[in-house]
Amino acid sequence: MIEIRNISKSYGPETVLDNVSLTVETGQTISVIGHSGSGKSTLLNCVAGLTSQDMGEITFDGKSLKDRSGKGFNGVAMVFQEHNLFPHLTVMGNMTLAPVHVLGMSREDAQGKAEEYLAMVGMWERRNDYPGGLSLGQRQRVAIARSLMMSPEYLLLDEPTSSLDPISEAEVTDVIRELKKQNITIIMVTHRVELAREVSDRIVFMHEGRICEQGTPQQIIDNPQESHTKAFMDYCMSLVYEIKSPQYDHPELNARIEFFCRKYRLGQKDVHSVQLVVEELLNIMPLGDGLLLSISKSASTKALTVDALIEDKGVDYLSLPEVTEDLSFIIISGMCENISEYIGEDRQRHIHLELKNINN
Amino acid sequence: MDITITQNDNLVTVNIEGRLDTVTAPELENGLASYLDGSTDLTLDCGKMEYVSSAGLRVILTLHKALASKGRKFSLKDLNKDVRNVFDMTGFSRILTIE
Repeated sequence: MIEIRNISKSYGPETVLDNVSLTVETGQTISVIGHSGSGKSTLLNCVAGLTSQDMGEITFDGKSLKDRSGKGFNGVAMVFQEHNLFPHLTVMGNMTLAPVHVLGMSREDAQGKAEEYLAMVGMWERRNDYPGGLSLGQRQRVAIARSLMMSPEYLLLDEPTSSLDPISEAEVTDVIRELKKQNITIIMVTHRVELAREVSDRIVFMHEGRICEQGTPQQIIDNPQESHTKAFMDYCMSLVYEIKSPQYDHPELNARIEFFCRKYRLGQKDVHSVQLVVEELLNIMPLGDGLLLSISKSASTKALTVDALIEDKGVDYLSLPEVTEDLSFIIISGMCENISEYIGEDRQRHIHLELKNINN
Repeated sequence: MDITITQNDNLVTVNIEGRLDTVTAPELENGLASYLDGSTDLTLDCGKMEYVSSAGLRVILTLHKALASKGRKFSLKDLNKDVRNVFDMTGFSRILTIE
């Protein structure tokens, strides 16, 4: 069990952790999510002992990291966003370095164990390659396997899938799922809500240095209670796409819409509904100066919305007769519950469409 | 989108498979241009058409007008529920023959 009690941390006048308390039961996987600057990485660094908190204490089964370090390895392993593999060592070299030099394991035993973990993460065949020859996802898988070589009781993952393409992210997600079977206590910091949903027993949402809300993935992602949590979930569940000209890439945009809808478990009907509303909206809006498109699924209201943002030129597009009588607008009106156009605080023109009949 | 055209006596049947949208609608228009000057009736078999947008509707309307002006029959068949919904909401199902 990891117990985090009343942790506070400031850098100068800026408070980055404000009286944070959290208990992580043995064998649990906890995801800490939140915007950049919410304090989640600082919290993880405090748990790892990389940063000292100003107040409060962190214990592992009742003992501080300092008390546990007497045995050489304190039982806490960490995988960083940047994998941090040694570039001058092969994959096998990276795997065996710490067990041999810190735990005093024989090279033969270390290699045997390394082969097992590399096989677990699907990287056995690349054991003699150097990190420079691997993809980002492959390096991250090796980094996770390397962390297991020390037989940690606790594993800290800091944004393990950031900067990864969808395929690499899926590979690393599979590995994290395997880790859960090892009964390791895991704290993962991520901004990928769907990753948190897939692997976590509990999700902790942080905002401005505090724990705002925590609960099961279903509670936090599908039914958030706090306003900051709701706003974060709405932000996460968005596809933002910039239209630069009338000659935009239709197939690419449609593919992005489909990927977005599938990510949030929407069916083919919903994919087509969103694609149709977007296509018709882009038919009637001026695209010469560009347009920023945002498609969102609200965590709280469950509504699917399409928003367009363009430079205001003093024209109410959705009130023009040539628009309202256009086939495209008729389709939009038929597909949407609410349609609005307004000038935002940013002085840009906003078009907001809320789709109807979306399956949740 | 794939288009397959078959002809039996005085009826041309056009099977549309896939999406009829801004990108693919010109293909349909170009593919059927040569049939507009003939004397045959035309049916669009939409059984495998999974998506239609206003671009597709405009081409379909052009076909309807061109054939109607020459006294030829134009119809659509086997629209799926979502495609039929687009025809309904735009009023196209009132002006076209849909089987």
